[in-house]
Amino acid sequence: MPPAEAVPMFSPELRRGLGRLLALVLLLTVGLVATPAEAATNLVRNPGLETLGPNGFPTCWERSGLGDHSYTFGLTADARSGRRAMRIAITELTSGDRKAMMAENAQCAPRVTVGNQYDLSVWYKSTTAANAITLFRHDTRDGWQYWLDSATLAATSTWQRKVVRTPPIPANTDQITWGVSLYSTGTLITDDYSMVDANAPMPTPSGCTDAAGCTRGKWQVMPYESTVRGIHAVMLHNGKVLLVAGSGNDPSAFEAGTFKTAVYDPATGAFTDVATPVDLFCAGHVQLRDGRVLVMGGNKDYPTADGTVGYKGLKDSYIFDPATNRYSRTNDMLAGHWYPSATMLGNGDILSLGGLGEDSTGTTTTDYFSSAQQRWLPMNEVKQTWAWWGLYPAMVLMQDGRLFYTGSHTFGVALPGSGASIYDVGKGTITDVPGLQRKDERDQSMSVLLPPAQAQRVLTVGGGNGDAGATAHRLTDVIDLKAASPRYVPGPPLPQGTLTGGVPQSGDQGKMYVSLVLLPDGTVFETGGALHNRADPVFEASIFDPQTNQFRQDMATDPVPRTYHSSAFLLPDGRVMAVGDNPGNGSFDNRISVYSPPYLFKGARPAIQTLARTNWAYGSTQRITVDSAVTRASLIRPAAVTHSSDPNQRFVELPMTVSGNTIDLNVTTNPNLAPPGWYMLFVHNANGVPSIAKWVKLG
Amino acid sequence: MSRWFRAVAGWVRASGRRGQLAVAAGLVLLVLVVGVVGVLVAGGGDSDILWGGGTSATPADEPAEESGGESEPGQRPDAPDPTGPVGAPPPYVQPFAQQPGAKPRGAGPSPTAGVEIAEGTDGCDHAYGDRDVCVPWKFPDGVTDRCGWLRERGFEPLKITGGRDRHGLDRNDDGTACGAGD
Repeated sequence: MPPAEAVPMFSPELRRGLGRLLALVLLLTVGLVATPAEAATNLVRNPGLETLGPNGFPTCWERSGLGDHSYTFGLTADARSGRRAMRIAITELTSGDRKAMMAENAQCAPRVTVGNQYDLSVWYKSTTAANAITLFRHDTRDGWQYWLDSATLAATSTWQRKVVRTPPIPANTDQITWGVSLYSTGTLITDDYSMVDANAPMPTPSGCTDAAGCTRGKWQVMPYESTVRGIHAVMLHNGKVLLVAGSGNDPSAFEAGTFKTAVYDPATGAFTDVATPVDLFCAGHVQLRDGRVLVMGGNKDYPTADGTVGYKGLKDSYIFDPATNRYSRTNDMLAGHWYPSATMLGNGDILSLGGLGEDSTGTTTTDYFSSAQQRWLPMNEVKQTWAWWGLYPAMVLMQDGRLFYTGSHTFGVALPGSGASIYDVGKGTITDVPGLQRKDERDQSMSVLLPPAQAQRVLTVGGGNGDAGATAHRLTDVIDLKAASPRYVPGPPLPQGTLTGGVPQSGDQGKMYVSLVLLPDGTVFETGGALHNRADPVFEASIFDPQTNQFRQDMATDPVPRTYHSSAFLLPDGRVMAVGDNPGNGSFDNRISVYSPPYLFKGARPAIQTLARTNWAYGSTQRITVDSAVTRASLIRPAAVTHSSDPNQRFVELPMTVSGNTIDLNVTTNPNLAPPGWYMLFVHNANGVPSIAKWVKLG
Repeated sequence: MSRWFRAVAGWVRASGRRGQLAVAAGLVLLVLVVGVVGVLVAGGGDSDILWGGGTSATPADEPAEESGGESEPGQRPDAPDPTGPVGAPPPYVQPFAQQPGAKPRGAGPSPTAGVEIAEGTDGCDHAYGDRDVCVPWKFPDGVTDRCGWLRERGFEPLKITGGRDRHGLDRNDDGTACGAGD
């Protein structure tokens, strides 16, 4: 029997079509399954803690922790998956924490790409809310170092998952490790860690239509002038700006008892006069936790011409209320303060130091305003050091509640010691910090806590010495307050600009009375200043990038000279406003300039569409929605600036938990990182283009 | 088998072009379903994450446990769980900048007076002009023509109000610094 003739099952056309269809299916399978799997590769080694090393501890993990406490640390069979989970129990605690960390070595620590973001995930159970996801980063130059605590884990008796996205990986970082820190008594069990590349959204097209704006930013001088001399500027949480002049360095106004304050509305250009009770010229000021402004000290009298008596400081204090545009008097301080510092502590209290007293001598009295009691405390309730801090000493609150005196101040000759120090308010002790260059030429320098506040780094820029007639220098110094023994190290030299007539700066010429403004993209705008005390404006502006520790030079310069009695500060719309200039001939420039940084010329701005709450608690998670992808969120404390001094200025990182355009913001537990009060909430996209701020009240 | 195949092939041929397309689509759907189920089964786990970095669990000895501080030796993980604050988390503060070896200064003696401040602390010699005017207490290095330096910076002739002329700006001694005859 001949074999049956082979009969094709499908026609040739159908076979070809079927083949194409199968190829398509294969491609779709690769596209839909394989690619996401690749993007979601877990970078954590031994994520389920199932593989043990010779010491019986999970491979690629290590025990970590510091401090004075009693604890047990090991594995438990109470696992979410597999056979093992990590269990840490602290039975008594005086200080410190305990945590399991990914091992800090080349094989185990997840490798990362600079600029990328990673979603960290961990399953956990805990009998306490005192758990934090702690990150370390490996700096290719400086080795392993603490990065930040990115999220808090609430207490739970059932397995819960916490996911948080890292900020963009900083420059010079090739690996990170992380774990969950237990920092109170309690029991923490963790399992099934993961870390996946979040596939940071591609930068949106720049949309740059203005080449100069994109690279240098642009200034606009308002077509009107301030109605008062803007010597003191405070950003209010209603979006308006408090401009305080007092007598405005005008002795005739002082003699006439003409003291001025105005509230300026940047949206409308309107000024509202505010009745000013005393000469608040040269006062100190800071926003209280409720958004009112505490003003302390001021000018009791100008110096005599024969030089026998100098400026005298008031001990009066007032609170300005943005809701009523009125000052109300508080009790007096213990001593007069002309040029005092004003720093908010983590509990909302205010510390004021330095300046000149009622008899024009230097004030060594520490004044302390109690937020709870709404009054300056009497002498027997304030721990005194009787130290002389100079005038407008820049006191930056550290993450543990101590104060860092940056060495930046206004006027005066050198203070003893190294020029910078850490002041423990509770203990009443002061410890010098070394490294500040030319410590005796930091008159009218400026310091700022670099973004983010969690990094605990301070930048001090420029300065001179008015007493000695010194020419301002271009030195900068950076200090990392995370170090065991912090010390300033030299930063990059301040870029040089031009003097009057377009003469370029030369040699080591720099600036005094310089302004530093934190921007919502995590950089620092540097602008204004002069070569000498009240003389020789320098036209130069730059942007300092804390990630690279470099200045981006040649930003557009304010066409208005901004020397003595000038200030610059951030507006909620992401622009920078500059006011004031009071050169030695006694004139005053009342023009207002507004700078639009390059990020405002780089395409559409992301928008915060909804904000679940405006009253935020420490350690909470706050939900927002945005209209487009963003890479970072932050809280920026509104300015309260004068004389190149705004020690409360800070940018607080808000690590994000991202689900599409819904974002949960993880708020720090530590009020010392973000003292209570109103903040500007910003987000920005991968191009660094920020949103307009929403106002939130923390604490 | 071959008989079953021939029967199906014959049925497909008889079905016409529309029927053949339907059969082909059914086969593709079957491949898709089998493929997806296969991926899900083979992928295992509880999520869409592939554990690229992990290794399989292997039996091991009872893991070592570490204890520290003042805890009782031998305390087991299955002891009653200690608890902590469960509401708002307490502040998490890092032990930075403890400055080991550095010697802090304590409070000084209570002063009987404030610190004496030398004249010119604001960098100005207020003996010239009104007190909002700031003739430098010390001119910058290299300035030889002081009145010229002041004029270039917008200073008008200044009355000497403080009864002295430290900088010698009133050469003709008419009571006005940097005036017409100076």
